[in-house]
Order: sequence, then C-alpha cells, then structure tokens
Amino acid sequence: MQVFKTFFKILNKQKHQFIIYISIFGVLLGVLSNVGGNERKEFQGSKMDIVVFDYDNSEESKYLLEYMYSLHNKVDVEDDREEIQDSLYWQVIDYVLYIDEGYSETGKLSNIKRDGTKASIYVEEQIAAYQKSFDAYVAAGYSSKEANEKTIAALDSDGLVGYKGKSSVELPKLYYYFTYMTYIMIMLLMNVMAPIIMVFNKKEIKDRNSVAPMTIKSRSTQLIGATAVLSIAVWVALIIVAAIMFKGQVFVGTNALNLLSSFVFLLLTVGIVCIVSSFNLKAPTISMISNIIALGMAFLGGVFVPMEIFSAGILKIARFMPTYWQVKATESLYIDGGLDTFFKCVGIEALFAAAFMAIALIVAKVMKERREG
Amino acid sequence: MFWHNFKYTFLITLRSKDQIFWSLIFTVILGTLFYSTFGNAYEFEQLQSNIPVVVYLDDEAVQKNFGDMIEDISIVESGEKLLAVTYVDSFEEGKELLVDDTIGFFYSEDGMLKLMVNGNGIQESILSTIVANYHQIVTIMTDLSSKGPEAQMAAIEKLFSEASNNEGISLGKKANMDAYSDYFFNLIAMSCLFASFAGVAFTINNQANLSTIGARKNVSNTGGLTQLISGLSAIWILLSAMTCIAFGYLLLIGVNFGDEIPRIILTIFVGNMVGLTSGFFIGSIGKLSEGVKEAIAVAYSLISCFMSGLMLQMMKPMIHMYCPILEKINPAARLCDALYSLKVYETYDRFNENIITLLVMTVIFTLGGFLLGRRKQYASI
Amino acid sequence: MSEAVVKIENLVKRYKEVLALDHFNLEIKEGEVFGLLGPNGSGKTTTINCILSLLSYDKGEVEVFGKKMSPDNYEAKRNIGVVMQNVAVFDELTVYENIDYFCGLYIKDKAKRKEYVEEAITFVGLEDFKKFYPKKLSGGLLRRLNIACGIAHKPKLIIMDEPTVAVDPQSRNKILEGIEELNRNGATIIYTSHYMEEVEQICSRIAIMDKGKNLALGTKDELKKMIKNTETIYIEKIDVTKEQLEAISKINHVYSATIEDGKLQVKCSGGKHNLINVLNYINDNNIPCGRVYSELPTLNDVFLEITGKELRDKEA
Repeated sequence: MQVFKTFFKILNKQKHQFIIYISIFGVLLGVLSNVGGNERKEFQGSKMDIVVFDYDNSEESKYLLEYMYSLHNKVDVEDDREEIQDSLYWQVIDYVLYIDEGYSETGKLSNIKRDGTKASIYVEEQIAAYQKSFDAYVAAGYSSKEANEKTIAALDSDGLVGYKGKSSVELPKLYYYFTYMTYIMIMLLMNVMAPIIMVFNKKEIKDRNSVAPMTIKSRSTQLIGATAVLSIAVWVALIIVAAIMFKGQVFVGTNALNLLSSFVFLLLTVGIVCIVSSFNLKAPTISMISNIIALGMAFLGGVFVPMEIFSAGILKIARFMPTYWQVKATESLYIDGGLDTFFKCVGIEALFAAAFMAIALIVAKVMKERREG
Repeated sequence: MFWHNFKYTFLITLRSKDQIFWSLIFTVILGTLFYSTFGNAYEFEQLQSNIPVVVYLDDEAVQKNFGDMIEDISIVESGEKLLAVTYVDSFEEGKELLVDDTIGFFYSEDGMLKLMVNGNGIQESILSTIVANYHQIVTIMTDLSSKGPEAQMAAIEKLFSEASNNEGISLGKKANMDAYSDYFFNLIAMSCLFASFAGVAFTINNQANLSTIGARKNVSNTGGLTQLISGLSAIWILLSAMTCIAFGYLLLIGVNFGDEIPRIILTIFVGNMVGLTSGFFIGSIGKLSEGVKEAIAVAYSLISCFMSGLMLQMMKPMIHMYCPILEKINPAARLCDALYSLKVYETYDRFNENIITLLVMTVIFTLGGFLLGRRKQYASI
Repeated sequence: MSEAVVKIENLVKRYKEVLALDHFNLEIKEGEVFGLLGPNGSGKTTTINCILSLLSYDKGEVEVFGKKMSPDNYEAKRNIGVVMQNVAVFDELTVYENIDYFCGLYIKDKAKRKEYVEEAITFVGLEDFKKFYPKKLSGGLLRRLNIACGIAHKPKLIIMDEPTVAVDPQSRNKILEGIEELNRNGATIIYTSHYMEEVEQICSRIAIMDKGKNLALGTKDELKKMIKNTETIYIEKIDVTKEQLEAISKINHVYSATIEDGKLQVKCSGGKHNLINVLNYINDNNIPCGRVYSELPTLNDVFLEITGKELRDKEA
C-alpha cells in the first residue's frame, strides 16, 4: 500500500496546482460547450447574418429591407468601415447591403461581402431574384405595394424542398460537451497526473535502497491503482459538471451512452499520459507538450473545426486520431448513425486505449532501465 | 558584469532544451497541422462548380422549362457550370442515389419542380434557390398571362435581364476576410506567451529565497538590478529569435501574413517581452511554491489564447461584444489584433495602438515584479 | 593582535514561534579556521545566512571586516566566498563555465579571471573534468565543483556550510586538505558541520551550538578540558560480577564503570595511569577479556556532557 499512499501524498503536496488546473479546465469546458454550437452555423445555415443600410428611405427600399430581414438574421453593426471589416472577418456578419440613395428610381445597391464565398453568392442570388421579380411586376403595371406582395408570394419556396431522411437536427449542447471534453481531458490529466508520476519515478530511485523489497508486480499494481483512482475521480468530476450544467439530461436515454464513450476515452487518455510521464520533464514543458497533443488531436479529430472542410488526405490522417472516433461516436447518438456506429467507434477507442497502455508500459520499462543504468 | 551575466544567461537558456525546443516544436507542429487542415479552407468557402445532382422529370412542362436548360446554369464570375447532372429513370432510383457527395435530387410533382436534399449546408441552400427561382418565374409568368402583351414584354425583359445593379465595395487593397488566419496569429501569440515559463524559471534562479543559486548570486559582488536586466534581456533576445524562426517556417509553408514583415518581427519581439515580463511578475510573488507559479503561468497563457479565439473563433467577437475591457487587457488578443491589422489595414494607427498597449503591459509587469521581489533580506529562506 | 573578521553581537532571530538564534555571540579572527559545530536544527545555517545578510534578524549586530553587514555592502561581498549546503551550479553549463560564471560576478578583468578559474580547477582537482556537465559528475566531484565556484575569486573570508555531506572519502580528504591550503594562503574560514571528526581535524577554534545558543567556545583542547571526562577505557568480551564492577568504579580517578553486551566502559577524570590501574585489577582477579583500548574524549563527548544529546542522530 505504500506506493499507493505515496502517490496521493505527492498529490496532496501539489494540491494547489491541482486546484488551479481543475478550475481552469472545468470553466473552459463549460464555456466551450455553451458557445461552441454557434461555430457550426456556417455549415448548417440557410439563415445568414446580415445588415442592411437604407440610405434611400423610400417605400421600395423599405420593402426590400423587410424582405431581407425576413429571410435572415439582422445584426446590429454601425456603418463604420473598420467595424464592418472586423465583423465580416469574424463571421459575425455574412453580408452587408447598402440601399443607395435614389434606389426607388435607379434600383442601385452596393454591398460588402466575403468575395466568392457560398454565403455571399447565396444572399446575392436572393437579392437579385427579388429585384427582378419586383421590377417585372412594376413593368407589367402593378403598384409598388402589389409588386412587393406578389414578389414575396412568387419567391416563397415553402414545400418545394424536402429532406430525404430526418431533417438535419441541430446538435445539442451535450454533443459539444462530450466532444470538447476530449481536449479538456487530455490537458487536465496531463497537467495534473504527469507531474505526480514523474516525481514518483524520481523518488523511486532515491528510495530504492531504503524501501523494503517489493515485487515489481506489487509496485506496478499499486501505481496503476493510484492512477486509476485519480483519473476516475477527474472523470466523475467532469460528469458531475455536465449533470449540473444540463440538469440531469446526461443520464437520460441515449445521452447516457456518452458516459460509456467518455469513459473509454478516459482510458486512452491515461495511456497517453503514462507514455509522456516516463520522461523527466518540467511543468512548463508538460504544458507545451500537452498542448501539442491535445490541440493537435482535437483539431485533427474535428472537435474544434468541423470535418467538412478537411481534404481527403487529411481525413485519412484524422482516422488515426482517437478524437476523431469520439466525435463520430457522439455524433452518431444524435444523427442518423445509430447505435451500431456508436459501438463501432467506441470499440476503436478501446483499441486505442489498449495500444497506448501497452506502449506506456514498454516506454516506462526502457526509461527505468536507462535511469538506473 | 552586465555582459558577463548576459552571455551566460543566454547560454543557459539556449541549452535548456525544454523551453526552446518545445516552444519551437509547438508552433511548427500546430502550424503545419492548421495549414494542412484549413490552410485552404477559405478557398473551400468559395463556391465550387459542378455540384453533383440527380434529375428525374416526368412532367413535360417542367422538363421543357427547366430540364432543357439545367445544364446551362453557370456561375456568373467564372463561367463554370454550376451543376454536374446525372439523369435517372425513376423517382425511387433518384432518391436512392441521394447519398454522400450527391447534394440534391430534382424531380417534378403536381406540375411543380421540387427538390430533395440530404443535408443542411450552403450547397443545399444554393440548390434551393434554383428551385425557388424556377417557381418564381413560373408564378410570375402565370400572373402576367392576364396582362397585355406589351406589359408582358416589359416584365419579361426585367425578369431575365442579366444586368446586376448591386455593386460590390472593396474595403481596400489589403482587405482580407480569411478568418482562418486568426489561428496562425494566435499560434504566434501563444509562442510569445510561452516566454512566461522562462520568466518564472529565471526569477526563481535569481532570488535567494527561491533557490540556492539565487542565494549565491545574491551574495556576490554584482548588484541585483544589473543581474536582473542583463538576464532578462538575454532571454528576451533568444526567445524572440526562436519565435521568428517559427514565423519563418510558417511563411515557408505558405501561410499568408501579409507584406509587413519588419513590423511583424517587431510584434514578435514585443510579444516575447510581454510574455517574459509576465513570467517575471508571476515568479516574484514570494509566498508561492515553484510548482504553483508554473501552474499560474500555464493557466495564464492558455486562458489568454483561449479568449483570443485559439480554440473557438467565436470567443474573440463574443468578448469584443460582451466584455471589451477583457479584450483590451488580454496580451494574446492584442498580439493577434496587431498582426491582423498589419495584414488587413492600410494605415498603422490600430497597429501602433496595440504595440503601445503591449509595451505598457510590459512596464507594468516589470515594475510589479520588481516591487514584489525587491526585498534583499528575507524573513526566511 | 588579529582583527575580528566577523563579529556577531547578541543576535536574535525568530521564525514565527521558533527561536532560531537566542542572543547569539561570536567573534571570528583573521586567519582562523573556525568551526561551528552543532546538531541539525541548532542554528548554524541561520547564523551563516545572517552573516551574509540574506536573512533579516530581529535584534543584534553583525559586522564583517569591521563594518556593519548589509545587502548593499559590496565592498565586503567582494571578499566573501560562499559554499552552500546545497549544490548551487547550473546544469546547463560545463564545469569550466560554471566556475567562470560565478567568478565573473566578482572579477571583471577577463585575463585575471581566466587565471583564477584555472587555478580554482587545479585546486579542487577537476582538470580532467573541465568540459563535463554537472549531471555527469559523481557526488564528490559535484561538491568539489561547488567549492570551486565559491572560492575562485580568492576571497579573504570563506564560509562553508556542511560541504562534505554525502561525499566519498577520497573527495572528503581532498576537500579538507584544500581548506587547510586556503587557510595557509591567507583566507579566514568558517566551517560548519555536524561531523566532529572533520572539525577536530582542521579547525583552530570551535564553537558548539545548540538551540540557537553558543554553548562552548575555544580550541579543541580547551573544550575537552571543560568536561569531566579525560579518558575512557574499553574492555571487550569481558564478564564481571556486580561486586567486581563496583570495585572498578572505586579505582582512583574512575567516576563511572558500566558494562553492556560484554563490553566494559570505564570513564576517568584526571590521572595519568588509569589504564594500568584497571588492567592490574583485571589481572589480579583473573578475569578473562578480549581487546583493550583507551580513548581520549571527543567533541561528541563534550557535546554530550553539555547538552545530554548526541551531535549526530543515530543512523536509523
């Protein structure tokens, strides 16, 4: 039991750091899962974020303005070039429409957009369609008011477009929680557990002579036990946070399967941490390495940036990331993929876990021999 | 004494592989990763031609009006065809083929052109405008049929006119909307903030109550201030050089930072100054253990970069909207904004503002650290 | 009349409730090798740190080279060299570079410094290790490096805080010889330790400390004279009756006779023929025995008598 107790004694000594890391990463996860959903808008939207500046203030300009805002979200932005540049850059707005003075006579418009993007073309198509319709009706002799009403009716495409399967579901916040959790889990366990295991390895050499002879098996078992206890405690803490944030939804129906996938991911994360812990590193170095691994895996696995934008080549590499499979697993719970896909993905994650653990054992042995040699 | 300490601090930092190696590797690996995953994402956003669609039209009228010209629909700017069409012989066959890359299935029902899609993306939206367009024309023509031929002609002329009265405004020569460059800016910012780790380590080695080496330095003939400035300067120059190397690598693989290379280098040096002095400040907080100080440095660099949009691009505009003061004092955000304004704006006002803010931060951190650590005699060692 | 290099008057230092230095007084003269002896926690390192002006203190005066010592007293600092208890070298610098670095904090002149560094390396016997990094050095060599870094600038006052902890015998001897040579070359040395054998070997004057107080001060002979015990006689593998034991304790100049595990310990105070007297008694009574030897009192005995404690904790 001595090894086990020593492990937690070291943890206790480092409890201040522990608390800092848990708080930071816990809060980070909370913010990420709440805000993350909005990132996807680009790829789920038919509703864009636009702003229309009406410098004509005529009956016709008002009709156009109302029509555009009926199709898309209005964003509050001032007509300031810098602000517009920034807002377009950050994708806070997708399109800026200026209804120039004299529009009612000339029909002149101007715009600022992200050139050539699908979003801008899409919006411009709609503007052009409206204008053409409106002009046509007016040319045929209708009044502006009638022309507007008829145009709206003509452009109404309700019922013209249908979905093959389920119409796309908006992914719930829980999805984001369990996908961002991959990044957080790697960072958290790396920064909290790795230093303890490293101190332990150093201590082990010093105590080598004075500690009563213990079989390697016993020592390893106790060490594994200690890491298991600590990592499970961390996992439970993260689940509790989810339970509080989402008011118990975590345990309901298919949501509960997330517990399984996240637990398996925990195992493979522990494997990664054990590999890194075999080396003697200082805390800032651990931070840099953990960032490389966590950010790298998260980006490649489609956690922060949706996989839609990956090229085929990158997708091939992505499949080697355990995060990729966690994202797919979580996705399958909320999109037509079904439980088959879910269990397949979790199975692959389990394989990763086994592989990492095996590598960790090998590396640990090699490093130990090198240290003592 | 100054250059002696400078030389050796430089050497010590250079040889402490941890700081140098991993800071560089971090930027190189993630930079490569970012570039390969979304270095070209902006182009992805551009409308692709030849969207794969399936078509089955059993209605004669719809076939005449739409089916005949479907393949002629092209993108105005490039002249490329918008759709890559596959014709099928039945409704079921069409529905079945609506998988993977096939975006839409055009069919006819009740004399109307309809569309079936399998997703909710932009491409689907664009296809739906085609259907809407078709519907629009049919509806208008139907309405017009009650009007006289002159009215009809005038209307049709308007309806099918190619002329566009919607002029695009350019925001300036450099104006660039590629938001993915923000990731690279943040990468540079994080590399700069990693200098805080070196700052903490140096401070610990410089103070008698924190390390034996510090004690040895303290009892020597060289004043504390000389040791401090010479040491910090050495580390600053070295780490800035490292970040510049990482930056050079990013340029090499094709990341677009704009043309203002000298000012970018200046930003890098200023950024490392902020990172280093913030580490000095953290390291000088007397009561805390080495491990806790390192944890604070880690947390600080991570949070700064997070709030500057490293993981979620949305964070930056969100904070700008809801808590702008945070953005003003976040060094990572300031660094990103400096790099962004260099890339996108023609004047240097915004850039200068950012640099000055960063320099002010440096001064505050330095003074703070100095005041905290100034004590030359300690109550306990 | 030697000048006082270090003068400590009435020094009081408190760490919260613990009184580390209790009205401590000390005077160290030029040219001495002064030993500060005491068990762990007695206040040796605290005293050192106060002399160096690293620690603040609550009451008292510290003077070095005749002037009040403070963190800004660079004139004094120029002439002080410190060898700390913990090894204080940079892992990232070679042996040569380490010594050069620390020497450079004192000596600006490059040529002079080069000379000094080479001399320091030769002095500690690290010529073959100039390009080695500290990680590759054994404990003893590391300690030698530690010393070189502290004395390379040829200071007039050298303070060494437990420099031989965990050091192999060969290195230890070299270190002690080195200290004697430094002293011959004119340096005043303050040497703290809890290894009394070393202190006895090289120190001209010794102060015995415990609980922040100066308990005894003098040369080693003076200290030994302070206690009752002048000779202790050991007889091994012996078996005596109670009456015989009592008889032995009544021999002239004997003040204590005890037996444990077959080993007889006879403590004497004064007298020149104690061994003969005891042996005579043994012979006269035909008591068989093993080895017989006599020991003069050690500083440990001095410490023991004064405080009732051992200088060094018994090995666990």
